[in-house]
Amino acid sequence: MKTETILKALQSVEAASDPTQRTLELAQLLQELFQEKGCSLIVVGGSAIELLTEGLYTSCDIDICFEGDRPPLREITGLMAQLKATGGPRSYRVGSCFVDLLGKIESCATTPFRKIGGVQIAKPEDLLAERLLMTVYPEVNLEAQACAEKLMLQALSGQLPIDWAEAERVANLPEYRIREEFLTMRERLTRTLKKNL
Amino acid sequence: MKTEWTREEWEQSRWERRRISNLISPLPCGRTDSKMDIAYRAANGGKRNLPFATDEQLQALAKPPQET
Repeated sequence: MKTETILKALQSVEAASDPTQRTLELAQLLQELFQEKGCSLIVVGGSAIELLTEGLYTSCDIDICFEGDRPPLREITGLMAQLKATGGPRSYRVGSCFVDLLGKIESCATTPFRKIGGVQIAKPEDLLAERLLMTVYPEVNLEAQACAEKLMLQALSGQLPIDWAEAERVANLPEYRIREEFLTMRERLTRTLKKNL
Repeated sequence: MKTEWTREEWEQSRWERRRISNLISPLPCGRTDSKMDIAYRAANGGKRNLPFATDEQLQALAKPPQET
């Protein structure tokens, strides 16, 4: 990417008026930058859920995984230097944003990654199982519960189409074993939705 | 099953997503503290993050652009 293009994109990130928009802007810039090295990125974790739910959930950093193997750290640091990032080699500050560049994506679902404005987002079928697991283990976690509920409600409302059979299969995998909680929450939120819409 | 959205589609649908999420809770549900808290606040004028978009801002984004 040309320096001018990068600077313009960074200005746009900093000018974003809210953290959800800022997350998308920065993810778009990172995707464009890493694409030149043949890498596809995926936004995961709380930032992914925020982009899919508008649930006032986003944390203060963006967690990014690689669709394939993570490139060498030397290569990553070189790319991040183009953004005038500080920190590293896995956690960076870019302007007033924080980015964690993690490893290869872990995914149990067979559905496609979602895409917003060209940015790949973790699969909601995976995100749901993961957040549901966090609601119960290692301890009851109300923050994770609210997050899982918002995600599932988006899916039930049709705003975020998901493959329900696949989501249930993932929840039932030994990786999560959270199918009962999944079904209970879906039943409860279906009633919530009927009552309110 | 729709799995891709343009930036414009995403922006216009933000309000609808917020409205649905508000059925569960209209309050922020993210973490209020972490080991990076000092760094987050240093980067954002003492706050952990930028303020979230208000319902009114999202409603404005949801409206189709007016013809001139």
